Amino acid sequence: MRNIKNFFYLKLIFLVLGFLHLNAFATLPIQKIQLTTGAHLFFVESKTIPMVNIGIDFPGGFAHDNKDRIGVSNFTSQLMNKGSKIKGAIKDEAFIADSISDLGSMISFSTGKELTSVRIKTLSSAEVLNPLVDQVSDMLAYPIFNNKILEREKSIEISGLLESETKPEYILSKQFKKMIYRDNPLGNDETVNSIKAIKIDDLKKFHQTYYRANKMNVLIIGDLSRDKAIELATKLTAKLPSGPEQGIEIPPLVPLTTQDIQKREVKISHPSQQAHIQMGMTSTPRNDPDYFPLLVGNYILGGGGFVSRLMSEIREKRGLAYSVSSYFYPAKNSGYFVAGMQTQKNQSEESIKLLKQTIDEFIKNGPTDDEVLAAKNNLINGFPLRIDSNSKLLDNLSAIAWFDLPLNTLDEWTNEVKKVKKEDINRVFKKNLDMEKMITVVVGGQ
Amino acid sequence: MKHHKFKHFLNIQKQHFIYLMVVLLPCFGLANSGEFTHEMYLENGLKIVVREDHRSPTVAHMVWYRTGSIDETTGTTGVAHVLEHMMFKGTKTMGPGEFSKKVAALGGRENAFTNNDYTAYFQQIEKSYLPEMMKLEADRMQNLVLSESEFNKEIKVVMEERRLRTEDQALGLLYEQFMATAFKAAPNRNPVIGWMNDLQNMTYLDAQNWYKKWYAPNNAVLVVVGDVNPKEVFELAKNTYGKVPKRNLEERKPQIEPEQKGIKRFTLKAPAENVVVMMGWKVPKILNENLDVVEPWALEVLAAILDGNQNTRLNRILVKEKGISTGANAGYDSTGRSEQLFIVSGTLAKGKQASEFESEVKKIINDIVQNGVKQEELKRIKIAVTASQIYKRDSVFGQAMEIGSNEIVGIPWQKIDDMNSKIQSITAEQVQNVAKKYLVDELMTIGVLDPQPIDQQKILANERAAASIKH
Repeated sequence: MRNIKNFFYLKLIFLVLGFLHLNAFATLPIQKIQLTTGAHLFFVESKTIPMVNIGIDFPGGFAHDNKDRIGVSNFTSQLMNKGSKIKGAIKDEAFIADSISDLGSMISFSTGKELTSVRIKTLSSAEVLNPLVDQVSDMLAYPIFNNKILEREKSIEISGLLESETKPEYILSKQFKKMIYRDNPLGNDETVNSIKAIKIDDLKKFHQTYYRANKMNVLIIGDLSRDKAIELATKLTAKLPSGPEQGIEIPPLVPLTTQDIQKREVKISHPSQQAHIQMGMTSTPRNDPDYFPLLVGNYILGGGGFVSRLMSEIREKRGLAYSVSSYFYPAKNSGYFVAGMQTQKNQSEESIKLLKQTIDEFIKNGPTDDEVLAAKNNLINGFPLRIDSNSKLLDNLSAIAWFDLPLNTLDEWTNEVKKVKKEDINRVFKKNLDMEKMITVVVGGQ
Repeated sequence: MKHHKFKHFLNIQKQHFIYLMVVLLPCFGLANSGEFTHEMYLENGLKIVVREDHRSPTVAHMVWYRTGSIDETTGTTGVAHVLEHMMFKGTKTMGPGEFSKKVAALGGRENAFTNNDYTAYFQQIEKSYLPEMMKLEADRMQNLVLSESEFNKEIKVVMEERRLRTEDQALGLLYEQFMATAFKAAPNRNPVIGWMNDLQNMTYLDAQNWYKKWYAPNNAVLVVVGDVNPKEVFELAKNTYGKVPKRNLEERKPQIEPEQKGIKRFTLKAPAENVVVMMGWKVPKILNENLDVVEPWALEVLAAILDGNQNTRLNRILVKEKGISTGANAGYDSTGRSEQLFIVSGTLAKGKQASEFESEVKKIINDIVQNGVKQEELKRIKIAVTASQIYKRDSVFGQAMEIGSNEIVGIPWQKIDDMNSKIQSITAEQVQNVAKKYLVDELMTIGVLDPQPIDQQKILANERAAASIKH
């Protein structure tokens, strides 16, 4: 447990709590600033700890990859810290790793469906912050894509992918996404062949096309002034590519329609002891007006930890599963609903039936008054826990920036929850969910 | 955990990391100074530690019990964790699940986790609801109702948890076998979640006995961190936890592992794609709160020199230079009531042999034994540790974890700062010495995951199922 290595390059951070006063936060505005480089800065000043969290988000995820080269986005971001021209001199991956460690800082690059994201955590003193930002601005602009390193990273990725393909939870999620997204690029998934096809030139082109200042949201929170934040964000985005290449726009996701049950249900055999089950359908994006009624309703159905209906029916009453839940996954221009669980395989049929019954009953009859009250109490009383650390706030900034939400979203959040009525939940669940459209995937069942 | 992982997977690196960072190191007199942290003992023996952190109107409330899987006996392994689940099933005045409903209605987040050394329960909540949390937690410290019918449902949930985390996870199985092989007498040989057969034969009476045996204020530490007034917290504690009677605790047997005298090797076959190798050595840990012994700190530094950033020795040599592995890790924990291992593990690249990994790891260690470590490596680790003292202040919950996990294994919060200074004082020679003394074949266990193709497994499983029906 106690192990110093972990201070170096934490990608995930367990900082659940502890930042600034709720009241203070309400008066602490999120400042949005258009930079001369074309990027947008979202800034929150927080003087309480001598540290700074920086994020950079931009469209450049798996959905932007060509179908026969899925993974280019990922390898581009993975190679951003493995070779670069820094202050005009070529530096290798060892130099980059050690120089950032020597500043006591951490940096990570990651790629998702729609976005590539950079995350930096650093001390706020000028002796650390200035050289760090100088170096990262060069890393972002002048990566050196080395073929030997690419081949090494490809074989590591393929090895991990082949491992995943033996796991029921991976097979499940892959099949589920395939049925939700169909041919939409949001469903792009790496394959061994798509990885093998990737060449250095693909990375160079991807970098030229998508690492563009005018598409970037820079998120900064911490112990620094607005002027300093603008200076750093400008520096980080000043030298980026600006050639003629045009990135692709992701087409809208076509909603699922009513289909015969045979087409909506897929069962894949697997020798695992447990069956892994997911069901769901396409839904609304984050900025949809139904967002809050869906949020409150889903808390009641399957989002509310130990107290949801799914938890009660499946785990508490019958002991069928360790974990069962549902959620609405909101993306920029689309979204989906999913409910899932795992159970000993001879209980899979019973469990699928119960999942369906519980969801169907909720769509038909909605929640009770008591459930609505309990859900709203939880979400409203629990709001301080969503915003009380630098890293939590950075996540919120990232969502506000990417989904084009109003800058007062956090100030208005509890009011929006308060406004939700039982009738709203009934209405939006009937409108957005339909058992005749719902797909079901079971891996390892009976 | 009732809800999520508990720490018995070595290889879930990210989870591990998470844990690590928060639990860990100390803090150059920043927050640990008496100005912000306060303690008191209630008459019934409950120790209370309160840290003020006024940056947010939230609070972390944790109760740590000094009982975990190492206190279990053969035949009822897993009972510490099962009891953790049962703690949510009602008291004399509260129905099953009512605890969670109350916490949820107040906007709280709650959970619990079980480890070798301890069982802990927590809520994170807006500060004005702290008194209610203390009332609820004190209630289940003495008034738990363990009904047979609730137990019979919940034990099924725990078995599903075991299937999810261990039975269907090659790495979970490997780690379980690794500990069972490395230790013959020490109770670390049993998995925290318990062996399946023990779970199948457990009754509510086993859980009840466990509760009666260990759940007492004099076997617990209460940790509160957040936007609170310590005097008020102490007062509240007196009126809630203070009413729980003290109990005589049974004497704990030391159960020390006899000295190992030669390599232990095993192979585990499980459905997977890649070969995984796990090597572990019997090493010392901090004993009797004595932080002045150098070796545990030198081992901590050694682990970081092997596996810190992407350019530290394991990753650089095994992954980047030699291409033997697709990822390798080192880990060691200097504290704990139970025995500790220094573990190096890695996933092999396609076509590479476990023997190549083993001999290359030994070469890496031997290089340190022969030539020592570089000053710049040492310095880099110390910088990271120092920076982490600042970063950890971003998390109220992380601070509560740090205090609780140290207190519960006998290291008082006042000494957390000293732990950091100890690491800062470690020399290259001390690192070299522990590598030489402990990372030797005689003290080593090595396990190899021999991956089995899925289809073959399926056939075998079907055959076994068919055979068992006949009996």
